Amino acid sequence: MGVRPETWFSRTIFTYGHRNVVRAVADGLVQSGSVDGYVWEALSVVEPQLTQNTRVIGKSEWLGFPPVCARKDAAGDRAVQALRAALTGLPGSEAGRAALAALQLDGFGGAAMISSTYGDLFAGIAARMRLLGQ
Amino acid sequence: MLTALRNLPLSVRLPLLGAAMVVLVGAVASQQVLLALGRVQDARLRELAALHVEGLSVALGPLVLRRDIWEIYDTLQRAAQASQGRRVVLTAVAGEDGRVLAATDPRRVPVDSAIRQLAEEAVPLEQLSAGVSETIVRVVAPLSYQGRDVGRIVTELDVSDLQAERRRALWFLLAGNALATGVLAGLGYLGMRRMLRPVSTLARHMTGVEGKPEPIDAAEMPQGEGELARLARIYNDMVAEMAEKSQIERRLAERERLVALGRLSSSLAHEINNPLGGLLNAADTLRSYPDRPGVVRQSAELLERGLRHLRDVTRVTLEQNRLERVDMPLVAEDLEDIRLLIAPEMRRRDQRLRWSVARDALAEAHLPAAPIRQIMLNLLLNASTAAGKGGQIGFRARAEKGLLRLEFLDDGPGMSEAARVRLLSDAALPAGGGVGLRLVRDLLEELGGGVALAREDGMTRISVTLEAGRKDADA
Repeated sequence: MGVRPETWFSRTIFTYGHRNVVRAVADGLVQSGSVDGYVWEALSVVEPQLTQNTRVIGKSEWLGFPPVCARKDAAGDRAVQALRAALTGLPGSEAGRAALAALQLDGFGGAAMISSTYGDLFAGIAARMRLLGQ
Repeated sequence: MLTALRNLPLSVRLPLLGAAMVVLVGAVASQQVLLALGRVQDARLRELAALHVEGLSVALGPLVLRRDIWEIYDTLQRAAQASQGRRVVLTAVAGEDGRVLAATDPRRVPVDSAIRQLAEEAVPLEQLSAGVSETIVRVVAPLSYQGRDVGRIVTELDVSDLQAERRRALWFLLAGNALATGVLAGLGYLGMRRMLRPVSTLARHMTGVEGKPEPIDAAEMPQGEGELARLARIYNDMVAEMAEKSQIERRLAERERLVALGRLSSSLAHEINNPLGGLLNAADTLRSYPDRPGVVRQSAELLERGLRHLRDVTRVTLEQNRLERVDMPLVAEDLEDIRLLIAPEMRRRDQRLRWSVARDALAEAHLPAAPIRQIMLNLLLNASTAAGKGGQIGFRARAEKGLLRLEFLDDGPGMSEAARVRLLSDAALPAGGGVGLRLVRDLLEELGGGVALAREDGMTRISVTLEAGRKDADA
């Protein structure tokens, strides 16, 4: 587009949090803000009075949810394995399902399983990072 | 209005004045209370605004320096939520450039708008007051951080509760004062009336039932030794003295009448005595010559004339002293009676009398006979005394423009000063003076008549004028 945020907007501010972006827009402090779609949707359930004063004017393509990562050389550690087992096993227990419901997530899966089911979810992010790198 | 007030009796005016003073004091006191309340409220409001601004200055200083809009906004929001009693309606913060960094209501005061628009109608902290017509006041203060001004804070404060408190206080004061002053004024009015009752009593007794002062009864006398009690006692003493004085004057008048009568009776004794010699002679002649019819007839005629004269003299003397005469109207015979009465006195002094009564002098005059006879008698006797031996006396009576004018003249040396005072004024009686002149004056006053004194051609003239028919209704 050849346009930069600093010149397109009369002013840009940081709010140090996705929820604060929604608050700033809802209160009229700023005219627009960009927010994680997952956060906006989660807020629309938990604090509908915040999101109902905002309007979504543009959506990005689907992008992957931030992954839970561990260093490659520590992937075999018992602690990492135990965390992985706990996360992927959440739907299997009552407490796990309650935790997932609170987070408004369906569940956690291994990287191989996610890629085979949904394709490369992080390709879009990688493409943007490449754009920034140019 | 003022004249109407001035005409009110003292016993109403003073209590009213007292009540008015109480009302005035109440009004001034209320005004003072409201002023004090206003001062306390303003001080409280300033303190609150100062705390608010100082708190924000500490919290916002670094954020304003960093121009961190979100943190400023977030801090303002939290401060507004914590604001006591929702007094702070709006707060806006601007940086050194006068542009708004954030406000609690960004829609009303957008980021980057000029603070000047908002600050124009704002007052500095030290001028902040709730005593204004608007329910929301705006205050502007510098935002100080580490000893220097880094921006400005404009805050809107809701003072409607303070104003309502003021109005409530005003109503309470008005109602309370109205009640208190009403009660106090009423009590004061009653108290003063009670205190001034002796004055009303005094005023009432001074005019009395018939316009004459009356003494105050013992039951109505003020108690104690206060000045009003003394005043009442002095008043009673004065009334008693006045009554005594008028009694003395009455006795004096009676005495003067008797003096005139005394003089008359001595003249009358002469009048009776003089013909007695002749009459006794006639009786002697009758006894000596009973057989001479000419002499008997002559002597009998002489006796009859003398006795008739004596009868007339006795009749007018009796007439003059009959009290029933008071109610009789004045007729021409009354004037003749007086002429007859004074005749012996004048003969004794060898005086000439010029008597002139106009024919219609008494036609229109409906006047009581007794006092006028007394007046005539006294003035004629007085003229006779003044004229002296062989002098000349005159009496004239005529009607004149509805008046009866009686004139008494003598060629004496003129009236003495003492006699003048007795006849012409009400001043205290000096020693000496004319016969019964003060009595003449008193009688004339009762009749509503006038008296004038003149001296011309060597004659003294006393003119008495009486309004014809004036006493008719009373008679």
